[in-house]
Amino acid sequence: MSTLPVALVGGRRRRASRRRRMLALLGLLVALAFAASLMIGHTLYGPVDVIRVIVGQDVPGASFTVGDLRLPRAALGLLAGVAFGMGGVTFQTMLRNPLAAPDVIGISSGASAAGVFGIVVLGLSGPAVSLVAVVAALGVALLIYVLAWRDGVVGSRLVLIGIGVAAMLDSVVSWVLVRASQWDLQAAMRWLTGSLNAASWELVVPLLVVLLFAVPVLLAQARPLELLQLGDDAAAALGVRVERTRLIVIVSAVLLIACATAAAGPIAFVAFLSGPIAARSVGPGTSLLVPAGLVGALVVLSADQLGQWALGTRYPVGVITGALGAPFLVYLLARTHRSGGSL
Amino acid sequence: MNAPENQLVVERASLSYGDRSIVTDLSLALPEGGVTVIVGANACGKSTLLRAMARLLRPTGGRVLLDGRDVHTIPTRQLARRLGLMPQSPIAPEGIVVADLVARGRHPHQGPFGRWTTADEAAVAAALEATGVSDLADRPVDELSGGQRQRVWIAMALAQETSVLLLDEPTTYLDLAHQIEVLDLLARLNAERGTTVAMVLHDLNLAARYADHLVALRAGRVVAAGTPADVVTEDIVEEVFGLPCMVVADPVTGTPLVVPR
Amino acid sequence: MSLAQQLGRPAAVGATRRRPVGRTTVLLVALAALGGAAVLSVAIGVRTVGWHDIAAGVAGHPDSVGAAAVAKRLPRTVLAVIVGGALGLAGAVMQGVTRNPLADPALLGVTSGSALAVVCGIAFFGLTAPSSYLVVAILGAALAAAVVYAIGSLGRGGHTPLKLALAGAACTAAFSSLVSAVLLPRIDVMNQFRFWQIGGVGGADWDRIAMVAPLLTAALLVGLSSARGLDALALGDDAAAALGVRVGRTRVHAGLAAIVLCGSATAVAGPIGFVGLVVPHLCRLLVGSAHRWLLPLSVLVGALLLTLADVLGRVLTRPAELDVGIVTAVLGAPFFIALVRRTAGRAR
Repeated sequence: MSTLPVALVGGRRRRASRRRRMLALLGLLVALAFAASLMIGHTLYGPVDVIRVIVGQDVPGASFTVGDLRLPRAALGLLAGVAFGMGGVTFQTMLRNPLAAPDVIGISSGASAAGVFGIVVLGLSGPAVSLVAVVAALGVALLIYVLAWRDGVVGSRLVLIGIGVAAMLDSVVSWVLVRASQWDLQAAMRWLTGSLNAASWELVVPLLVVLLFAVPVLLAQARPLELLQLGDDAAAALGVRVERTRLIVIVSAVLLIACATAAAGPIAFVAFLSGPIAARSVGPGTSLLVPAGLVGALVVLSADQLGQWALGTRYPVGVITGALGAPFLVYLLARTHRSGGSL
Repeated sequence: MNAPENQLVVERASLSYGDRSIVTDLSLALPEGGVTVIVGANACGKSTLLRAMARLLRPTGGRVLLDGRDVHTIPTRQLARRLGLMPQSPIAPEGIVVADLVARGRHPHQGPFGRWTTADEAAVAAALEATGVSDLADRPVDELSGGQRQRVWIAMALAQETSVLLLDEPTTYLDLAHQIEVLDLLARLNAERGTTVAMVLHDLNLAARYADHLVALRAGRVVAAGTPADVVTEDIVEEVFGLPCMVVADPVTGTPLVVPR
Repeated sequence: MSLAQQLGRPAAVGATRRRPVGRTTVLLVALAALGGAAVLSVAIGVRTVGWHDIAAGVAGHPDSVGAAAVAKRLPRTVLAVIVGGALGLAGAVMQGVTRNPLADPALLGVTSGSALAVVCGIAFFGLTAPSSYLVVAILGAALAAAVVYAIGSLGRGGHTPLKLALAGAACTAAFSSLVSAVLLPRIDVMNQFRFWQIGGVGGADWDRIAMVAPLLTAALLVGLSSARGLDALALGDDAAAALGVRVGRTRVHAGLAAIVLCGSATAVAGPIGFVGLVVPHLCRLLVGSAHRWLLPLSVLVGALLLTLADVLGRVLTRPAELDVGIVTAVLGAPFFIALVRRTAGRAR
């Protein structure tokens, strides 16, 4: 019996150190991807020039390209990736289902529909569209939650209703697109596929503010969220205030998703894939919020680089993540099946 | 006569889901430090009653008291330190290992920053030891057998270090050998630690064998409550289960054994 | 939990109780209603017409402007009828094959799979003949159905309504992204595509109908003939096998019929959602779950609903038109949500 605690502690320490190493690795990869976004382009700039621009010095050529074009783009990619990753994994954890990501259950559709509607029908542009999108996404999330509520919320019911709402909103989007003029179509398409092309500080700063608020709130709920995975009854028995936790967590996650969608469009599959990828890297048993955020950032930054320079045409990041997401989805589910997990 | 201390008391509770009334005006007391088993036919309200005792369901009438206080007035975390529940279909997060799952049971004892103390470590170790799953500590829960998994869930409830433990059908889906294994474990925990145990069982004979206090429900009302010898009689069994039977003494334990006619 | 719930099949509504109205009566009423809807569809539009015009237009003698308008609306009406019927039947068959009350061709990703196939065909294989679109659309539907079914069946417990719905939603998202990926550099195709994507019967003409009619008829007959097999399947694979039904074969036949029905309907009218979901449920309320009544009624009610939806679309936003895919989505989604609220799970 005296040896047991040591063995127990040993196993726990091993797992904890593995998680720390993976987290560090993820952080490093994100930093590299960020740096690459600043350095790579039609003109290659070295790290020295990049640092000088960031610091505020005036470097001919680089100041504009790196400072005004690439920096906001990379920042947007980073922040949007974190937001999608954390928002997505929150939904997946809360609904106990990796397929129940916000882009599947209608939250992103709500933001897109509002954005498209705002541009084409209401003739809005810029921050007004973003605001409409955020309000709409929150409204849709609330609607879904209310519709799914009957003596409390059942995960499966929430998901199904979300799918129904998403279908309805997607058809609205299609209809609006048909009405769109050629000019509006370009702007409207951004709301459908997700792109960093329109990145500017105007878009980045509000997103940063929201992240600074929502991320700590989510992190504070990390442990109750983990416990919710055990089932509502077991979590309540362990002292978790189930409904309250769920509400806080949903609002924060929706806020993150909506603001990121407003800034960068609904970048397909990032919210959906970040959680499972993080789970496979860091291992089970801990909160996936931070790893998923890092994975999300990594995916968005890498996909954007890929879309811009690696293929013939310049593809927006949403198309790349969408195209890659499809086979990854199948792979993911095949792995789940083999390990005996359930969806 | 000095009645044993009653820790958890249900006082004239009425329970319903929406407008469907399950339990009406039911009163029940769990003897402290004893093993109470609740039995009854399907859909008689036994799980509903247990959930109300675990504060998962708010009574529409009456109340549930823990040490004299209405459970709904006790702060959630504080209640979780006194009352533990093993629900009917607990879900194990994918890939989690036994030690980590059992560690979740320490949540009510941990501060806001979740610092892991030696006390937590000791509690987890003791729980693993008591349920006999110490050598499975690093194995993923998904890979265990049904009986082993149930023991792990019990270990998690044990790590919570509560004085009352509620279990909703802990033996479902287990074969007989594993059912006995789990029930023996619970009996031993009750004897060694003095934990008050209350569980819902669907097998009347096992209930009679392990219970100190047996409660028979029918259609949301208590038909009989007392020792197994008092409750498991031919008349009561016929009334509660609709089964004509003969009651004999179990040759091994001496407790009542129901033999259907 | 009742056995019906465990199997996830739609609970047999009043299967054995005496019905107030005979089932044959219901069928006849539906048929009559369909006729009425068809007349409405031909009569209503931007230009109002009178009975004389209708008669002349239908008979093929467009001797007035009104009659000419009728003649133009005729193919549209016919298309709405056959597409609606096809989708209604496909939905009923899908729900029977998967024992999933929430099955619907659009929800399960079949329609977006068709779309992807057609887009790929145009973009990569330079297909131009409408008949080739049809073939490709059906192939796409089949592939998508197989993928969604496979994904939804992974993990413990086989396929459940929830898992299939999620697999369908995820695959729909995946297929749509791939469609965007293919279309983005091809602006001309994209322009054309966004109109098709709505799902409407506005561009109907006799050629299109003639192209798709034989295939639809064949699929319709195969689908209707699978009624007995589906009744048995509803009891569970083991029970059905015990009753002497070849489970695998029934599934394949019925499944193929549903796929051809969906694929053809999508090829000719674009993706139209919720018809396959809502129609079987409505029909079950009227004639119960016995498939030999449910399937024919689903055809009639599907045709009826789609025709009415098209009429509604024309009336609501005069003089512009609201395509039928929008109407079915906006009306169908609340119905779906109400259905989910009534049936899916309880808080635990």
